[in-house]
Amino acid sequence: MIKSQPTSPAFQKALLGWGMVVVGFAVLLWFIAGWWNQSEQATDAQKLLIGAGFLLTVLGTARVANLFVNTTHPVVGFTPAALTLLLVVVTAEALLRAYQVPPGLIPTPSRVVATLFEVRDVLLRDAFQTVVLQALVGYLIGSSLGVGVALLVSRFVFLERGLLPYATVFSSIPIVALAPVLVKMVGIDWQSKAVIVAITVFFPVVINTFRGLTEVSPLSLDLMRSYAAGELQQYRWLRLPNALPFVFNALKLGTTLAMIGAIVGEFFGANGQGLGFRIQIEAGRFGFDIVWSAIIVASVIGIAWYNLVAWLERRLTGWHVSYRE
Amino acid sequence: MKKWSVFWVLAVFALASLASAQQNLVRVNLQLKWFPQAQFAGYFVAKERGFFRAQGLDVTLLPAGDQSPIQVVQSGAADFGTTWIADLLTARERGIPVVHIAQMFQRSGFTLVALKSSNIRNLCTDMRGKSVGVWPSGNEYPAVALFRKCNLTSSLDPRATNPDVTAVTYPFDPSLVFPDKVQLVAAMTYNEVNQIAGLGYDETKVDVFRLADEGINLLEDLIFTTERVLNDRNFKGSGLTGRQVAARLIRASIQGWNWAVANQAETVEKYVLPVCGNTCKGSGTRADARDHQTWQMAEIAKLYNAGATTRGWAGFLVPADFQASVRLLREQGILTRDPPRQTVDYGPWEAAMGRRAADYR
Repeated sequence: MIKSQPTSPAFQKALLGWGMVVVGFAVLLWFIAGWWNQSEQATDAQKLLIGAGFLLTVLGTARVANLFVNTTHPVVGFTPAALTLLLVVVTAEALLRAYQVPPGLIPTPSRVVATLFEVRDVLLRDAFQTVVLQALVGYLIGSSLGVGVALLVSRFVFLERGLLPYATVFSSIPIVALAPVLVKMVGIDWQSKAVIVAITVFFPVVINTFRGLTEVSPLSLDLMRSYAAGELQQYRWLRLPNALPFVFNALKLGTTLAMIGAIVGEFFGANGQGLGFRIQIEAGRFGFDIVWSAIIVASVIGIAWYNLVAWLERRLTGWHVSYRE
Repeated sequence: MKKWSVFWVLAVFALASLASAQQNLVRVNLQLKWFPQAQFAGYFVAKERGFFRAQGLDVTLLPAGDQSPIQVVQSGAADFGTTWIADLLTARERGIPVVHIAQMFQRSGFTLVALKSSNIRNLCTDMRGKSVGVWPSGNEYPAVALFRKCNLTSSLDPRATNPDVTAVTYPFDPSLVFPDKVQLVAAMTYNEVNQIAGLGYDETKVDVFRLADEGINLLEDLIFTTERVLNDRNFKGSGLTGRQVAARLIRASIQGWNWAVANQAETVEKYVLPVCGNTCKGSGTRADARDHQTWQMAEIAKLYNAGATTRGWAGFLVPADFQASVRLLREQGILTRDPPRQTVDYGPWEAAMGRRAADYR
């Protein structure tokens, strides 16, 4: 934050910004509290009030955000983004209550949070099936096969000529479209979804790893040759390190693909658990509070997984030019 | 200049005549509960034999996959729909303003099928620890009601961490799960029971448990719409009210159903088979679409020709049957309160049939 004297203009601007945020939220929360048990639509004046509270908070947040431009601390720097999220959630709650939108269409955020807490055990069990058994197993199989195949393809030219064109083609088609076929072939248990995930992750990993292994600077290759480095040494000291950033790109992309594949795969037949199964069955019976809870769980896990891979990437490729400060 | 003016006059004339031709018929979308098959024969007949047109309606029949017809009607993509009672009442409880306007089937055709070799004799006592195949999208409620009635928790219940019964969802082909993955599979008397038989598990090899016999008698195919449609003073600018359109739709549908049930062979040949592709086929040795649909038509006729229909009250929702369904759903905790009075509207049916609901004895 900008260090400022109590009377400086910057300080006053900041104070005004925070003041607007506080008042705006107070208006919204005051309405929500007053409308907690109502089953009538709010009056037009009250709806205008929600709009005013929203606008006030937006303007306030805009002023506050300016204060954080130079912040380097990751948590403190997140304040404006957190305010935005909070504002969206609180405004949604107020509007849904003001217009009395039925919970069978859009549940209020507070209802979703309450439901999430209530059904957490079942959702965690669902998440275990979807994330660990289906997405993670498929991801590990798909990416290790992908790296293995890429190593072979980069070594043997006949494979590059005969196989790689297909990998390129397959990596650009939506493999998820294969889900119904694979569910029919492999069965409705978690294995079929793991297969879907493995295939989805496989192709981007092959393509990226291959590029990383082959797009080596000719100068570096010449250097290796002048050291009389063998094939293995070349891979160990030049090609593999060079491929790592490419591989991690594919692995990060793969986390998202894996979650999509696992969840969508369950739409075509599931064995009674899993996040996709839960979403499908509850959407069909208008239990959208549970659907949203499952979406939240899937999102949190997806984000955590992506960041875990990103963290590993930073650990293993810290030497790379993009991380040099 | 002159050439253009002639063109414009012609164009305006053509548009005007088109518009007037369209004006005579009110365009209505009816969302069916499933893929085209003999289950909806009455509507196909009403459309193709001109019963809808005679009522001034131009009805488009929309097929469904496994999405909820209520979602389609609620969103306005269809004006009317067919579904089951449990689906309707749970949606109503969650604030979707859907209204029941006619009860086409008077009996339930929901069964669970098990191999005789799996030693399931009594559903309630033998179901624990078993897997049951069901369809999602509101079609699972009869099975859920049975689980609850037997005091069993299932994986369909988001609040049961250690379910007694594993419910497995499957799209529409029982061979996907039965008998390898599940010991019991949901099957309609008019469709999957025959498909399963075609797969080599006929009456001598399987037990068919009718849920109605187990005390789960939930009403099935009915016509519903939304309060928005019913209260429309000028339905799509046709000059008719929503209620009038509903009454005409019901009248023509019942004519269609009566004709279909009375002329089953012709119905299947002329009105069912032409509209359905792959989804009309049976399975295995009974895959032939004509045979499967002929058989389905006969089974459907049994569900239509029962209860109120046999007394000349086709399409009528018998209040006692409705109350029984509501009571059952409440007892099993699927509904937490009685549905509001507006959930059922006898007005359109009364206008269509010229009878008063209160006169039913």
